Amino acid sequence: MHGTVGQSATAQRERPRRPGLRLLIESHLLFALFLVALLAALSIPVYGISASREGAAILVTLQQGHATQVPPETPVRIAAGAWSIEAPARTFQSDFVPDGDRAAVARFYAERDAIVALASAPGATVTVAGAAAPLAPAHRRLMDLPHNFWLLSLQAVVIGLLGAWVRTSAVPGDLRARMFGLSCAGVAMAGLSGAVFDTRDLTAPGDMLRAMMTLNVLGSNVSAVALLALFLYTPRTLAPRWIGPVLVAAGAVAGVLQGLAVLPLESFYALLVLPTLGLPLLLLVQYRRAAGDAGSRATLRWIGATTFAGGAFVTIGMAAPVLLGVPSLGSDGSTIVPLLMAYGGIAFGIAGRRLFVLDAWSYRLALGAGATLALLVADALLVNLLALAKPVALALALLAVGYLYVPLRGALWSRINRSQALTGPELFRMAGEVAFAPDTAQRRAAWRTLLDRLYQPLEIGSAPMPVPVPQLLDGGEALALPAAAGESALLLRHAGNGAKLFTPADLATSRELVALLEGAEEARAAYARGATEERRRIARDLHDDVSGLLLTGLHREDLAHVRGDVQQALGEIRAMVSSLAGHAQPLGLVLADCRYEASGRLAAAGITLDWPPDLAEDAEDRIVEYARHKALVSALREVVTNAIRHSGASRVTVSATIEGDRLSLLVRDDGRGLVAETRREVSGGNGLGNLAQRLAEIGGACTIEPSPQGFAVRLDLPLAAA
Amino acid sequence: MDAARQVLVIEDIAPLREALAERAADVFGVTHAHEAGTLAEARAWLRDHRQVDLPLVALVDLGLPDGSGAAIIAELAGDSNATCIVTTIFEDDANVMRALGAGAQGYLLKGDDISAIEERLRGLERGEVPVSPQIARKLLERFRHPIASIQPTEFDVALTQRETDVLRAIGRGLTIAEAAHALGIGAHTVGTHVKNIYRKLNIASRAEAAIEAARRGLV
Repeated sequence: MHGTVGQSATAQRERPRRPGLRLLIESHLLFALFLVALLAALSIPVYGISASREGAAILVTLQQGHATQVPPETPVRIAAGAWSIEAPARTFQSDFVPDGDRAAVARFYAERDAIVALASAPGATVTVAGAAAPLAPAHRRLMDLPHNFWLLSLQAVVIGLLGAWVRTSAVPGDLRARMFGLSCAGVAMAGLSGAVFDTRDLTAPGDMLRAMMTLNVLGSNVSAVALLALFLYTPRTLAPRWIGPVLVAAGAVAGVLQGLAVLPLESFYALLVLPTLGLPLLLLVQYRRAAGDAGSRATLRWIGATTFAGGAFVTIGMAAPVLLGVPSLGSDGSTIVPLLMAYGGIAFGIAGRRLFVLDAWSYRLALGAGATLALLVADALLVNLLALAKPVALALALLAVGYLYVPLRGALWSRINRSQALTGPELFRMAGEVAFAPDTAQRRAAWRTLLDRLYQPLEIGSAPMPVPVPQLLDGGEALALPAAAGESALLLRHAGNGAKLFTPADLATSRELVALLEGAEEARAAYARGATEERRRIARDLHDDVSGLLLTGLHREDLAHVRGDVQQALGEIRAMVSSLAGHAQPLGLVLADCRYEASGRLAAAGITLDWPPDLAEDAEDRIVEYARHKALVSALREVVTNAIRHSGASRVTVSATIEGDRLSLLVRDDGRGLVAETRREVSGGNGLGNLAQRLAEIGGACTIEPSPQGFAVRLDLPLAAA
Repeated sequence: MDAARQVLVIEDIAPLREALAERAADVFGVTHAHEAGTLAEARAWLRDHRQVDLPLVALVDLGLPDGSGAAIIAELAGDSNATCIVTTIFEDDANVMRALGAGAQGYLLKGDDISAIEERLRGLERGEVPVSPQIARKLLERFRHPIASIQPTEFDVALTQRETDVLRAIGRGLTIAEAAHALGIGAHTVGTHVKNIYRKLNIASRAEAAIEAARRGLV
């Protein structure tokens, strides 16, 4: 992962690794130990007498269900025949830990042995503060085990398994995994021995209690010191490799000495304070050292958050019963949740799994725990300073925390997620700039600018491998993007100027962005295709319609004819550049324009046009494709030109019929009729001949109709595509 | 030199300019129509010879060597005595619409026979304002969706029902006379409507330009 500890293992000789098998063996060992603890606990008889703390007093429950409240030092007397023994009431609590000097501790265990011996004798009795009850030890069954036994065993097994998982899945020789494994093993040992130690009611064999006590202190010491040592190496190595094992060994030796009462037990609590204070300090030092290393910082944030949340849980567990009047979760067993939170958090943190997901949760966890603590503090202040009733104080505290906490959380959250400040419209605008930049170099530059704005990575480089879709690499250290915007696949490293990991949200944004770019580029390509198509049409029209006319004009002798050709060429150009050009149009619009043009030209020549405005039925609804309406416009223009030039007519009449998909236009004039000159033009391939040919190209026809007076021509053409 | 009015022809193609000037002088009853081949020449003439108390008819080509004639049209919009007619080869709506938006009161097709051009000029002199079906349809579309930031009442740029009817009739291919007959009004009234529509197009275009300039922080 990040530090150098893991890599140093490569110096060791390669060993065949079988993590699955090792995990199986270690978990079976753990279950075997649990079974031993279970058998040990079941070997302790049930006396039916218990003692528990009730405020400053001790509540002693005798067999008949009589409970007697007595001061802690009140002697409890166990007698059988002539023999009897007395011990203070407080020492009968199931979780009582012997204190005082070595002799006092030795006396405690000796007393337990004596009580075991006396209580099993026939006719034994127990007496406290004048109340007496007969003693009849019973064989302990599974259901007689206290719930604390199960909670502590569960805690031991789960955390033990967690340690085994991390240790066996790490590289052999990974010091961090070893320290974590030792810490978990310590928790397991302390948990199982504590479970047995707490099982007794009246008493248990002294040697067994001594052994369990020793194992418990040993386990606690090892777990605390190993946890501390872990953060000497996680994520940065702050101390030489030998320091950690030596510290743990020292803790273990101290634990054995404390358990055997060679060292006073007070030193045990003093030693436990060490990690409690040392751990946050060490985490802070590590966090400072990890500046610029987003992965390590995410790890530390996560571990800090889980440990803090765990610690908050302990505080809540202790404070809530007192402050809010809810029942306690029980004594030692209540540690299970915080320990699981802290150890689970550390396990996921150092295993480095999906930290980019957990990072967001670090804040949520820490903020959630913070809110609950704030609630308790506010409640305590209100109860103690203002002497408010508990329900009122709780309501006020909830209100205060709600009002302060929710906006605070929002502000923190937006601060933490500041790099997402690129809003939707801005992102869209920038993506548009990328897609529509004029050339490839500018598109590339715009793409890099966009990525820089969006993620603020320390590095943007080419990806060394093909990237089909965006993906997160190296646990969120890098984001790989597919080829886009004329740029090859890219690898972005160290988000947020190295302060953050790429998150699944970043991945989702990049997916959307790549899809957006692909869409925009397709649109751009379609636009370019459209423009090319339009250019091609204009070139074709110029070639087919305009150059032919100009060439004809070029080789004519008669100036009047040349003028006619030029005007006709202009007319063709006009049709090409008009808004109707290039697109299918309703027949009605095409006829309206033809009518307007014809009426203007005929009027200038002094000829009346008789063209009913609603010439063809349903003309507005019939869509005519470009090639056809262009041919129609050209043909009508030609016919009008002929009428102006040659007919000598005073009136032109236009009528139309539509049959099926064919339009038939009849144009008549009252002029000279088909004179020799016009006839020559028709057969010569110019004028009407040209017109006939163009109409034929689109499946139409031009026919000269017999007419009693003047000239009549029929234009016949299909409207819909063949 | 006729003192009754001034005529200016701005056109870069010399034979065409001369032909236009000759016919325009004839139609508008002046002895001589002034000619300019570029924007610079036109501006120089306006600066040195324009008599603002006399009516001015300007025939303005759009594609001039040193810029668009639309600039001159816009400059003359402040001259209440001036009438601008845009001359164009094609009745392509984009150019004509731009010129009308700049303040032109009509247009002339240069591709027609010179006799047809003269006929058009006489029509303009009689108050007949040209409008093609394509332009009529474009105008209808333009006024159907005025830009949201202009309040029609404020600038008086919305079309009246009659003006809309006129544009609809012309859009269907009717001539001014036919439209007048169909609507039961005089041809002269139709001409007045069309002139008003062009004026409103000019106002709307200027308002839009001002708003656009303000939006971009130019004003």
